Amino acid sequence: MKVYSLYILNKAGGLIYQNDVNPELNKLTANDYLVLAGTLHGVHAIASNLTPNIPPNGNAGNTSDNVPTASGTGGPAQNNSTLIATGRSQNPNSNRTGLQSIETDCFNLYIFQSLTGIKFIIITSPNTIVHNVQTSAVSLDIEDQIKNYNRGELVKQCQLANELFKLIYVAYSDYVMKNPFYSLDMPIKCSLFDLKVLELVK
Amino acid sequence: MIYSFHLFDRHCHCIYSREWSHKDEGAVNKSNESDASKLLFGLIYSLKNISTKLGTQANTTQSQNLLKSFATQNYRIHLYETASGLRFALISDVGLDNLQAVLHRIYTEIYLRTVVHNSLSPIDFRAGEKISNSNFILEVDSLIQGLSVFQ
Repeated sequence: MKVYSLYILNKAGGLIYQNDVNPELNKLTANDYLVLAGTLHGVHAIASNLTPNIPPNGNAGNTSDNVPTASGTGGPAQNNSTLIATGRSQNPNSNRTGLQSIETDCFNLYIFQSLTGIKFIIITSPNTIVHNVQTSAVSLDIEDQIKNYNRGELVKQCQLANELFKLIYVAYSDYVMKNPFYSLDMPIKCSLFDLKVLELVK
Repeated sequence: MIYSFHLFDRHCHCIYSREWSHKDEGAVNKSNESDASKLLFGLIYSLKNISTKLGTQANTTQSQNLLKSFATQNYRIHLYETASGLRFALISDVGLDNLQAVLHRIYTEIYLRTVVHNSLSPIDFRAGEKISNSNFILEVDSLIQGLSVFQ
C-alpha cells in the first residue's frame, strides 16, 4: 500500500492540510481541492444515514462502538445512558458510522474522523488483488469469481490504513496541537509535522 | 451478507429497488422514491465525480477512472455503471470485496433480456415508472439468493 497523499479537514469541512507525498494522481486547482474536501465532508455524513437494518446476529464487527448513538441520532437521555454505561462521553461530532473507504481503479481513499471532528484522509494505491477483476470475463463461473475476489482483502487494507491514521494522529497532536503558534481550524503550516508525515508514509 | 439492490437510470430515477430482510420476503420497489435511495444516488454521483477528477489521466488510453465500491463501518456498496448511464448498486456487509461480476451479470443476462429486449417495457423510464416485470424480479432474486455470500 503506497500512500499518494494526505489531507486534513477541520470540523467544518475546510481543507487545512494537504501533502501530496507521492504525486501520482491528477493535479487539481486549489479551488477544486477545497470542493473535494467539502464534498467528502458531506458524503461522510450522508453515508451514516444510509445504514441498513442489520439483523442482530449479523457480523457487524465489534458491537460496543457500533451503537448508532455515536452518530448523534439518540436523544440526550440516550447519550447520558451510554455515558453512564461506558464511562466515555460521546461527542456528537464523532461520527463513527460515516464513510470509511472508497475503492476505484486508480486509487483507494480512506477517511478517519477523530473525536473532535477533525477528518484525516489518505489516498493510497489500489488493492492489487481486488483491483484486477475483469467484469467481462465470462469464462469463469460466477461463484469462482466471487470466491477469488472476496477474501476480505479490503477489510485488511482498511485496518492497515487505520494503523497509519493512529500514527498520523499522534504526530498531529504532538507537532500541530502543541505548537503554540497554531490556531485551531486554521491551515497547518508546520515543517516538523511535514517531516513526521513524510517519515510515516514513505 | 447482501442487504439490498438498487438500479438507477440515466435520468437519476431509481427504477428498481429490492431489499432482502433475511427473515421474510423483503420489499420490491418499496423505496424507489424514499429519501434513502435519493441519498444513495447523491452519494454515488458525488463520489464518481471525485474519482473521475482525481484519477483520470489525460495522457493515457484508459478511458475513465471508475468507482468500484465504497464502505462505512456497517456496509459496503458495490457499483457498476454501463455506457448507457445505468447505475447498479448492491449493498452488502463490509467483508465482501468485489461483487461487480454479479452486477455485470444482472445487466448482461437479465436486464438486457427481460427489459431492453422486451417490447412491452419502456425504452426510457419516466419519473415514477419502475421495473415491475416479474421475470426481471424473479431472475434477479434467484441469482442473488443463489450466491454463497447471500446469507
